Amino acid sequence: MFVWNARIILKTCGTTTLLKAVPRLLEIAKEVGLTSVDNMFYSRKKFMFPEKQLIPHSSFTHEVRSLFFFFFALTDFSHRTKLQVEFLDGVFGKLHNNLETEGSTSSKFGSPSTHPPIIPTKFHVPPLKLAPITIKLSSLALNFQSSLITDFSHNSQWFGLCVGKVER
Amino acid sequence: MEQSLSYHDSFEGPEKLLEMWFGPLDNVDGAGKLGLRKVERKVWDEMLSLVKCSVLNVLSNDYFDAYLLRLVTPQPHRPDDFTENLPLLQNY
Repeated sequence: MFVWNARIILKTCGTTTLLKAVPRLLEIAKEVGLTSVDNMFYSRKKFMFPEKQLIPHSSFTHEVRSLFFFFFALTDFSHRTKLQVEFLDGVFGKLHNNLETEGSTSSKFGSPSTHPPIIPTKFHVPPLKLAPITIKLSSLALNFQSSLITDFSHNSQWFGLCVGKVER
Repeated sequence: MEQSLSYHDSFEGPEKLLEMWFGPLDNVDGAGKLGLRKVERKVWDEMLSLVKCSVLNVLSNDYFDAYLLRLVTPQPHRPDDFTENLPLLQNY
């Protein structure tokens, strides 16, 4: 773990549950006056023993849904923030198709008033051993939506809540 | 050869990597430990417990703090740290 004044890198292996750190990291940052997220990156290598991983790393669907939840929760659509999700591996053609146009290497969600984001609820699950994933959020001055973060455990509502934010 | 490879005699080495950049930067502009570097060790320990990690060592320079982590395995009585057994050894 590397900690700068306004930046943190967490690198773990084994059966760690890295994505579970995100909601708490947001709280910790807020407590020291860092109230916005400028960039967030998550990636992982191919697991050798995917069956040993714990939630949310135990399935590709869980992992991607967690990421989408964080990214949508962190995205302030009312300020025309653009959410850019890149899947840096050609394996995820079907996932792309769910999100946007076929053959695209990235999906961009613009202003919700004209283009509400399509929230995928079911993912094609590629074989985990073949599936390194990288999802990147690149944006400016995103405001925390702490109420959404708090609702992290209500996984069936993850995306509904985020869409609700868009409509406001 | 490959069939004999199991979780117990091998190590899940592939890494997960999370990086977050926070703002506003004027809140942490200046020399010394500001922002995240002001966070107390016990707060990091508690956050890392969510990840199933604990801190083995810490190194710092003027710009950042580096924490060496280890995986906390689910088995509660695994004697990873032999110093826990020192009182027992003293009986001999």
